Amino acid sequence: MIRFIYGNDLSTSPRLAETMFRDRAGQFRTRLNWDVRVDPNGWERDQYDGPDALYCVYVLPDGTHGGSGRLMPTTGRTMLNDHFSHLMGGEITSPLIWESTRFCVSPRIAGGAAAAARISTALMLAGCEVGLRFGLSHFAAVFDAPMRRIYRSTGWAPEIVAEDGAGRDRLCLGLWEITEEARAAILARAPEGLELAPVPAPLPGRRALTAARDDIDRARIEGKLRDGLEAEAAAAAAADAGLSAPDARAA
Amino acid sequence: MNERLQSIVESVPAVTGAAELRRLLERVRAIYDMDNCIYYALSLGGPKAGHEFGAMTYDVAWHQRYEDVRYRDCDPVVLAAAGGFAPIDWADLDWTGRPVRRLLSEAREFRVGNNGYTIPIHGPGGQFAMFTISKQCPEEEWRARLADVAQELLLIAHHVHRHALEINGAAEPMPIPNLSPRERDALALMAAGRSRAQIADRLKISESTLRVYLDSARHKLGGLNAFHAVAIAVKGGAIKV
Repeated sequence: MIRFIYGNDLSTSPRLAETMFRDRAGQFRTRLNWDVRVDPNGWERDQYDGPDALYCVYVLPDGTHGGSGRLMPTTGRTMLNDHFSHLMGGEITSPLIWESTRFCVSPRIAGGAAAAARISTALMLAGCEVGLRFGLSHFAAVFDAPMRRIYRSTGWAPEIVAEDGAGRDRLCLGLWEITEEARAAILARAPEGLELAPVPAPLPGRRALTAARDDIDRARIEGKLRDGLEAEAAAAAAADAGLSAPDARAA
Repeated sequence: MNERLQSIVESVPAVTGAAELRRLLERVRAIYDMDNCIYYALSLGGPKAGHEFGAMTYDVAWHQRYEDVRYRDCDPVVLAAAGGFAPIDWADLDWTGRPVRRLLSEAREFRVGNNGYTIPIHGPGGQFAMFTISKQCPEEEWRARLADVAQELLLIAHHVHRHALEINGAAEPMPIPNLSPRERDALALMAAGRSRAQIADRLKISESTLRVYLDSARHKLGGLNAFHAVAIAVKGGAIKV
């Protein structure tokens, strides 16, 4: 089953969150030997795992993490622009382009390569479907060279627009064009037994809604406070001017 | 070039306040055959945090009623848009609960439309705005229509938002756009009148990737489409023709 979940709502699904961050440690630290931070709980998390991050998650029948990717619009802060802009010679920013990071299939799943391929395909399909729904043009991602084969096997291969380094550690910047044809190609290659339940809408859950309400209230109060202070300052300035005017006349 | 977008591009600079914004939204409504169109910033962010700005094509009485009853505090659309960046089809929201059901039935009386789509825009310093369209029509028709216009609405939403920040003095000082060499090349070739196929061929990239360069350049320059971006880049001296 595919679920979209905002960072703010992860705490309402503690089992899913825990297995996701642990699986990411297994994937990125243990298997790929990336220079990522793993906390004392064994969770791999970085500064982009904030309240606004949108996770596309494949949830296993037992409620744990089967695979996931992290989505962010390139109009906000992205890994791509903060760390990899040298690959393109500049930043990529557009409301039509979202970045995908930390694409990962759980190392714990049973069923070997076939099961992993099913999960990868389901994640790519979900990404493509929301992209189409929202009118996006592309996803962008930076990944290790060996991932190319995995992406290609899902039926939706990225176009590599920049590379850096050599061998297995070679970094690739890939772009996926979001089209109906891409969706059809994924479906055509979809392995037997792929669960193709309707892709749910990415919506904030209970926690994210509460946080949103608080943010709106805070901004309103801060705005009012500042307006009040500005009005006071303006009144004080006017009073000063009023006081000094007669003095000036007297002088 | 898309005529619908072109028509909006030409209308945006004339917007200097809420009244003109309303006229622009009426134009969007007409061009995209919708019942209503709204741009509303609940916070302009930065030095204007907490300041609101916007306009809507709704019946004025509905807006008044909405504010009087403070429906915004329970409106599932506002909350969902505040809580995330993904666009929202109203049909996917939870419309249960007494105040929400009352909001829904009153909105119906004011002909808001049974279908709606809201694009949230979030920026630095608590900046938060929504761009919404709505229409009374069967669900099937709505879905087909949305698929056709979703991308253009996303562009218009962000463009109107940027303009709203500027006219309200809330825009961050626009840095000199940091175009990448590829973006610059693509714009320059476009300015020279080359077709997309020719440009892609020349730069040894696919047309799909060319779209990414052009679109990223477009966004950095504040254009609504590639041609608009070329015009801005030439005017601002970012590229030479």
